[in-house]
Amino acid sequence: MVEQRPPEKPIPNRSWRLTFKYEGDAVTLVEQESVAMLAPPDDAALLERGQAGFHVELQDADGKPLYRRVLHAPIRDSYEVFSPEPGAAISHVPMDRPHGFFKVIVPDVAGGHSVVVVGPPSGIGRAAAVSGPIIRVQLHGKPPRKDEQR
Amino acid sequence: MSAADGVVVGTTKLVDHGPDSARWTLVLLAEGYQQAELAKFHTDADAFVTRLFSTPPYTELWCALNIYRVDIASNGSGADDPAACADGAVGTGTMVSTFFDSTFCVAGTRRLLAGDEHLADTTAKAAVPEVDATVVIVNAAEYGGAGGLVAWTSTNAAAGEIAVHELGHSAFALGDEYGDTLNTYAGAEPNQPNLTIDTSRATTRWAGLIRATTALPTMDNPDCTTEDSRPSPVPAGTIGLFAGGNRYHCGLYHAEYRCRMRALGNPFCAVCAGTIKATLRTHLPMASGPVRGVQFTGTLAPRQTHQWFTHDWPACWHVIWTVSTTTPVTPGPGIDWHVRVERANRETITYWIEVTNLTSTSLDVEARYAIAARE
Repeated sequence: MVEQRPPEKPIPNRSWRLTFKYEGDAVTLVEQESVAMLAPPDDAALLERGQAGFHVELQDADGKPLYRRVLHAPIRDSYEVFSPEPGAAISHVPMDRPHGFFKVIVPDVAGGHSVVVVGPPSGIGRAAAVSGPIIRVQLHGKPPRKDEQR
Repeated sequence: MSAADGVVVGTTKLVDHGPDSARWTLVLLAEGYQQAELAKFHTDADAFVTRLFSTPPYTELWCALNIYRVDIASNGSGADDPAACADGAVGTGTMVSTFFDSTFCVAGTRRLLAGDEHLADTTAKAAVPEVDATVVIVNAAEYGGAGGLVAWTSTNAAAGEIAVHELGHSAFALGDEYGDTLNTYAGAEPNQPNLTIDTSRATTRWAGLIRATTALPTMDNPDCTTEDSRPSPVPAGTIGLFAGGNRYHCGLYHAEYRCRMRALGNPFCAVCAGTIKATLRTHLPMASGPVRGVQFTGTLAPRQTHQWFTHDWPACWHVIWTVSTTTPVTPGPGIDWHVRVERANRETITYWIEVTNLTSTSLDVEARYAIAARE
């Protein structure tokens, strides 16, 4: 029997790539680019059952999610340390001052208005904490969201 | 010690499976190679490509990838290696001027090797605008590496594993499957695809992969203050629920006893491999064509068997062969033919086509191809 699969939702070959900088809890946009590339697949199914952790959302002008993708620890407060011995335990050492950069890629789809990075607050055990918006960025050439207009 | 300490020499596409706008594009950057050492970087970059190709599931989805090498000549060779590190390790004390200013002993840990990640990212984007992920290869034999916006690896034979693990995080959102300093997780279900708090056979995240005979949880940790070092209670490859994840010893579960996201040197478990595949699959060449043609013609004497071969066919092409006789033969079959496939190397295939004349008269034959996917 031939395996039958439903057609996958097409992803446009045009995406927005946003690079962010973080210093402690402060997250700022460094660069926003329109790039001819594919965004990763939508993680809506993962995010319907998983609430803890980071993700990025592409929202329309009403704040409705059009695309969501899970992110692994974009804002780091420690370094992962490895051993040359195969199978040896992996550990972490803390950063003196959490700082660094991360980037996200979202598809450039019709109606896409804003990019929101969602995640838990900083601190020990942040992986278990309740997530919330960390930064919202309006895409180039888009008017303010309706709830931001006077 | 910065970009002023070197120069970008050029960019070379090492693996070319089509347009970067459609493929998953990896960029390898040179760090700590002087101009005269760039040939060594070429060898080191090829070694990393070979490592990735031999790492399932990249192997089977290889046609989804493009890989570039960016030659950067630094003023100095290697990386900074402070003589004294807070973890007690002793370095060589070498300080060198390199493009990304990489150093061992980041955060007082000698095995942590990293540099200016923002400069690495902007350099990769300038060289290859469609870059999906970046690995910086540091010209140092000492074991070291790190993750983050880009992955860092020294040229030590074991260090490439660091970059493969870190790509699991940055490109595919895989969580760590071990505990180190955190005891018991008490939060909500994580959104990472390879971790769960759900121990229900019916609803746990990868329930469809768990056999009815596998106990759940498959391996809990009796001491949540430390990592569980006991051997697996089930055969290798068993999918179940094993305690440990996101740095917690208990409360979070991963799918297999061994996985590259738990400890280096292991293959990716089935759940992690499936996650990587789900992303890479969208970058595979779309079906196009077919492009059709005749590769060779020949004449076979009565009852003769002859073998042709044709080489350097891109391994990513889906090629369908048909051999036909152009001499009318009736009744009954005129020829029998077989295609054998030789994967000559990472990128090309040699087809061996054996044709037998089943009749008592000479026959003209032709081997036709149809390429169903190229772009």
